[in-house]
Amino acid sequence: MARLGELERAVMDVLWAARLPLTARAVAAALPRRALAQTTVLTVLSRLEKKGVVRRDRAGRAHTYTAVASREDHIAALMWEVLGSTPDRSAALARFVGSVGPEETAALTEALQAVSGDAPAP
Amino acid sequence: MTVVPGLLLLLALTLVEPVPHWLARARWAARAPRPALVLWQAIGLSAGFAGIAAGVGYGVAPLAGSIPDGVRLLAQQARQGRPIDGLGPTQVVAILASLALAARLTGMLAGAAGRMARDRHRHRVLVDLLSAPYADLGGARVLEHPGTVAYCLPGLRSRVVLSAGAVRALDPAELTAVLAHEHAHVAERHDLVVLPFVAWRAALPFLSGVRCAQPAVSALIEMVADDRARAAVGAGVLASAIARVGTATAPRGALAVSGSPVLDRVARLLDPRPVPRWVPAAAYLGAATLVGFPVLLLLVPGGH
Repeated sequence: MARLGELERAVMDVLWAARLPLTARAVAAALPRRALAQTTVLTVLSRLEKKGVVRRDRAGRAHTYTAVASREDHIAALMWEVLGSTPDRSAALARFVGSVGPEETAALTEALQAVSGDAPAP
Repeated sequence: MTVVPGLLLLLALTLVEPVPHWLARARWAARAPRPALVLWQAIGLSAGFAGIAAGVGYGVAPLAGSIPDGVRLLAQQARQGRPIDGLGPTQVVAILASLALAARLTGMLAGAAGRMARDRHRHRVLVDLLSAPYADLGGARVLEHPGTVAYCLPGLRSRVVLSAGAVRALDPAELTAVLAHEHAHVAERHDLVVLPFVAWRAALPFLSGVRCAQPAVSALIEMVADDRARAAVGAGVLASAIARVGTATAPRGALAVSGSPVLDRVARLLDPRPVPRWVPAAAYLGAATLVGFPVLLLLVPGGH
């Protein structure tokens, strides 16, 4: 399972770096240090397609694969979800510290100074 | 002859309206968050049970001397195709209302659980594609983002996620504190503790007592996780981690309503005042009583 996850990440890294549609053969060639069977790469690509992060198009006789969104866009979307999450909407994720307002920020800064005044931060 | 259903209804109403406001305001809860959480669960369970049992009990009162006997008879009649024999219109309405309440509460709970699982799965799939687990960070994932964010996705395949900005902003001891806090959420399945309150808030949004329960439970869960992290790294380090992440988070307009859970967390860490032993004991006893009382009431023979 862990190996499959690693493989999926490696394939996504190739597609994210390429920014262009790639054939399975091109993906396999671009994978670092692994000489993988093309069928394995195809399996991984179809898994990624099912997960909705890769799009498959027909180009002549071959299929090409494209990342549906850039790495940055995916991260931005996740962060948006996390920062926008309020505990009443969903219990899906738990943030270490929820959103705070300006007054709380001021009070927290004071608390932080109090703490580091007692014991200087390393 | 409706003493028992009347008492059950009274219990349910008390637990739904004034009691949550009292407990949400109770000062001792922050100093004994675990007993307080148990008490919250008991309140929710007891209120739901008593509310449903009250309607059913009133409905079957003409059939038998006790509520369990009445329910048995009603089921028997239903099997024979004449469910409402011997019942007046108010009894039928009471039974239907109880069934509707039960269906709504369980339906909303199932819906909230499904939504939570779906959101979490989708989020986890992306996190796994975007980041490998870091052994140095106890298997946490790090997303390349400048913000200062830390969170966890609880569940069978849980994930603890940090932003690169958080890793940079926190010193190693503070990072350990954050990870210990998130691992406590994961290990104790705090998502399941808060889930019923999320669901019931959605099911009965017009009851202010029900509305105030969920934020209070969420705040207590953070305090329980803080207590675990404090045991690992000490209160000062944890407080400074909370303050650092809190001050780095982009302010979100008018979210700072009615008290501040984050400030409460820091305050109790910097000024720990343990409660006397009898407080947790009383909370647990109260919880047991709340759950046991309506069940005992149901079993009273000839209570009608």
